[in-house]
Formats: sequence, C-alpha cells, structure tokens
Amino acid sequence: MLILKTLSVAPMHGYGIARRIEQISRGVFKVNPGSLLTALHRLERAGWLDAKWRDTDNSRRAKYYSLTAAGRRQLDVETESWQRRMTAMSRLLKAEA
Amino acid sequence: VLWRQLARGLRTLTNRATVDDEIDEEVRDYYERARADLVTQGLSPEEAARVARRQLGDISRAREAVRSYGWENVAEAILIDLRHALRRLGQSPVFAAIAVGTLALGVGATTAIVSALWPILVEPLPYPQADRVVMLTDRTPDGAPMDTTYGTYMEVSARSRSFDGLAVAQRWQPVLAGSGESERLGGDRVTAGFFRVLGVSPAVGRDFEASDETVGGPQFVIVSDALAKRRFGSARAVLDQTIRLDGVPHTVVGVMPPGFENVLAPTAEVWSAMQFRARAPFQSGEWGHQLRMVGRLEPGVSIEQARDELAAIGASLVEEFPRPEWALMAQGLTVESLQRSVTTGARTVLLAVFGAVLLLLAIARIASMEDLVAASEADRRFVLQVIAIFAVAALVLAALGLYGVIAGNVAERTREIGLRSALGATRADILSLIVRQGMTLTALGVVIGLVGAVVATRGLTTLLYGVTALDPLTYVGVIFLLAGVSAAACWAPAWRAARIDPTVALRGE
Repeated sequence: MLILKTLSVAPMHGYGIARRIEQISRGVFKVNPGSLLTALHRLERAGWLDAKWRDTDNSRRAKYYSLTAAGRRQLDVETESWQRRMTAMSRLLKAEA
Repeated sequence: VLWRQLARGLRTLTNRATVDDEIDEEVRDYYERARADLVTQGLSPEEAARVARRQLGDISRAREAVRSYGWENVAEAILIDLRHALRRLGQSPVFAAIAVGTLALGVGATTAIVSALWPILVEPLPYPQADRVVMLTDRTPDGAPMDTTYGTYMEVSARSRSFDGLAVAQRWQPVLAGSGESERLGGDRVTAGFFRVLGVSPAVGRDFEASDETVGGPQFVIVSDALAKRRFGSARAVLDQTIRLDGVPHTVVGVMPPGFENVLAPTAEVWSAMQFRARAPFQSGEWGHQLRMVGRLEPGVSIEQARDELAAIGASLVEEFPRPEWALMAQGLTVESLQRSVTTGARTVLLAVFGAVLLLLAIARIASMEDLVAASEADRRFVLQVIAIFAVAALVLAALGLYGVIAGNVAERTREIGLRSALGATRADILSLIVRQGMTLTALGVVIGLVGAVVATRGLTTLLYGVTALDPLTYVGVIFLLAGVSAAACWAPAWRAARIDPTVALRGE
C-alpha cells in the first residue's frame, strides 16, 4: 500500500520510492532494497504497476514505476480496508483505557 | 493478470541473461543513487560507499532477493530436477525399464478396464428408449436362467399385454458363398419384430414383415452395413440381390444403418427371417431351449409388472397353448433390462481378458475363485466387483513395483546420498530428490500405459458392443489416482534415504 500510495503522485524509480517513504514517514519505515525491488516486481506482475526504462541525466538508465488503473483501484480498496481496521483498532484501544 | 504472470515468467525462462542484467542494473542504480545522496550530504565517495553498504545491506543479496521472485524459479528448479532424474535413469536403464514397465502395465490395465467397462455398465444401450428393452429368459426348475422355446414365445406374445413387441433370435452362422472367398458369417435368425423391439430400422430397404416368417416361403435376410460394403461394395448394391447362405438362396431386403450395434450378438452381420411352425409337435426343434427373447415394454409398464404378468401366465395353462414338461413356465419368466443381461454376458470376456490378473490374485489369496463364482447371483454387482478388484489389483501391482525399484535404487545409492547429506543437503532435499525421481518414472509410465490402454481398449471394443475407447474423464482420473499412489510408493524409500547417516554411509570408503 505504501508503494502504491507513493506512486499515486508521480512515476518514480526504486530509490526514489524508498527515499520518499522514509522521508514522509520521518524515518519510521526503513526500506530494504531487496524487499522493495522484489515488491515492485511483484506489483508489476500483478498488473498494478507499469515499469519503463528511462534515460537519466548522467547517461544511465533507470526503471521508473507508475501506477496503472488497476493499481489505483487496488489502492482505494486497501486504503479503505486499512482505515476500517485503524478505526476499529483505535476504538478498541480507547475502550481499553 | 494470469497472462501477465505467464508472459513475464516465460520471458525470464527464455532470456535469463537479459532479465538478470536488468535486475542488476536496477539494483546498481539504487545503490548508486543512495551513494550520490550521501556524497551530497558531505561524505567522501569512499565513505559514502561504505555507509550505503552498511545501511542497505549487501548489493548481491538484494539482487538475489529480487531474482528469486516468480513462479519461473520453481519451474526452473523442477526442470533441473527432471533433467537430473532422466540422466540418472539413463545410467541404470534396467532399473528405469522395470519401473516404467510396471507402471505402464498398471496404468494400461487400470485404464483399459475402467474405460472399456464403465460405459457398458452405466451408459444406456444405443437404442431409442433403451430402458424399455428387456430380455426374457426361461428358468430351469432350480431357477437358473435358460434360453426359451419358440412355443413359449408364441404363447407369451399372444397372451401378454405388457409388451409393445416381442421377438426371438437364434444363433446362426451361415457360410456365404459367391463372388470371392466363401466366408462364415455371424448372424441370427430372428422373428419379424426383432428390429422394431430394438427400435432401429434398416437404413436401406425394408424391415422384416410377418409374412416373411411363412414356413416354406422365400427366405429373406437383412445384412449389416459392414457386410454390404465388404462383400458387395455398398448398401445399395446388395439390396434385392439373392445371396447363397449355406447353399440356400436368400433375398436381401434391407441393410442396417452403419452404426447399428446388435448387443445380443455383437458379431452378427446377417439376420434372416425365422421360419418356425406355430403349432409344432413337442419333439420338434421349435420346442428346444435355443432362443433368446427380447421385448419392448409398453410405455408405463415396469419390469416388475411385466414379471408379475408373466408369472400369472406361467401359472395358468390354457388349452390353446399346450406345453411340454420341459417348458412349463412353472417359474414364470425372468425379465430384466437388456442392458443388465448383456452385462452379464460380458462376464466371460472379462474373465478371459483379466484371467492373468486373477491368477495373481489367487496366488496372493486375496480372493479365491470360489468367492467370485459364488457371487453369480447378483450379476451386475459381480461385474462391478470384478472391475474394482482388477483395477485395484493393477494399481497395487504398479505401486508395489514402483516401491520395489525405488527401494532397490535407494539402497544402491546409499553412498551417494550419504555424500550429499555430508555436503549439506537437508533431509527435505533428499526426500524430494527421491520422490521426484519416482514421479519422473511415473510420468513416463503413465504415458506409455495410456498408449497401451488405448490399444487394449480398442481390442475390447471389438469384443464387446458399444464401447467408446476414449473417455477423457476416466483417463484423467486414473492419472491422478496413479500419481497419488506412486507418490505414496516413493515416500517410504525416500524417507529411508533421508535418514541415511552420512558417517555410516561413507565409512566404507
């Protein structure tokens, strides 16, 4: 979900996604490149992401990932279910106190 | 999504190098950017590289993680295993041959048995409203079934109201002489209503008529499409021809349709109109127990109702129809669906075909012949039991055979397996090594066995009526069953192999 959300803003490459997740979460989420890139491949296979090679400024290629329509739908679904769980959880914690 | 999965996986399998390069480039790019970021934060390039490595972990490990994602990796591992198994089998061809042969026999026998006999037992006969077609048999004083006499047929057809039609047939094997070689044909003498009882009429020409039965009248025959084509070129060509059967001229009045199956006598190719005397003296052939009687029940009349009516007729002797003491109908007549009675007839064929397996069973004392013969009361159940026993026996034999060869092979390879585990193969590795090898054998055996089954079923088809050789469901079922059974058969020796202690196994060095 984190990846999908990050990509909903703009297409990005692997490292960019990692940086963004770390920045926005203020370092709560530390991203391991092996896991992240595997996850990207998995999402790409699932049809939620598109991957394109693009040339970058310093004459190298980088793989940019962007959200597909199916990915956008999936993000909505996951966001909704996450929020449901969040509210349930916080209610539970309040009741406990 | 599935398509995407497949396409990507296949691309990886066929272009391993390119895909690996891309992964490598992506991972490298990631690290490069991380390092560049650190440099802009004021670290020296060397320091940045070190910090990046510390924070992000080893670059090759990340690459491996990405690389190992996807179904194609599993597929590749299986392919490698398969290749290895085949190579091993190539090294010990005798082992492979025995294992594959056993399995092939098992699959072949099982599939042939099931697919040949299932339709007979379950599928309706190839006649319209086949459930209304019944077989009627006389009974001996002990109650055993017995062919009927012409006198009984005459009386029943005159007095019974349960039937839309009744007919009798008598085996007849005339010699056909004429153009070409003389040939003994399979056939039946039938009463005029015979084909109407079955519900099939000739495709060309006419059906028999009551007048064809006139004693001393001209002789008429109807022939099968196969006979017409074989001896006369076509159905049209033989129509109205006079052919000599046993030296007597017969006029061909009709030809049955190509697909016609005569379940009473599958090999019959010629049917003549029976010319029997209605009121023959008791000592004549008309009163011999030599006829098979079939009938088509009136719509709405059950087999039980017909049986009751015939019992009533049997119990009441009328002046019009005198009976000799050997055809008193004291027990009434047996009425059963033609399907069931034909199934009973298939028993001999069954026994002949599977006699070999039965012999093995007898040796194994799983079931004695007496047990099987004693079961003749419930014929349908009997046939089902025989099929089940044979099928299970074939499977058990296949499984035992596989177990034997795999176990032998494991014993032979003790050293190799010990070496493998000494080098770090886990128990699971060794277990799957042996099981996979067994499954490779199974696959080979299944393929050969299926081919054999198709051939064997073709053979059965010619012996029995109405057998369709290829019932995909049966084949799939057998394959799965066999896969399960052989997995179980491999499991035991594989387990033993997995527990081989490397120090013990290698001590012999």
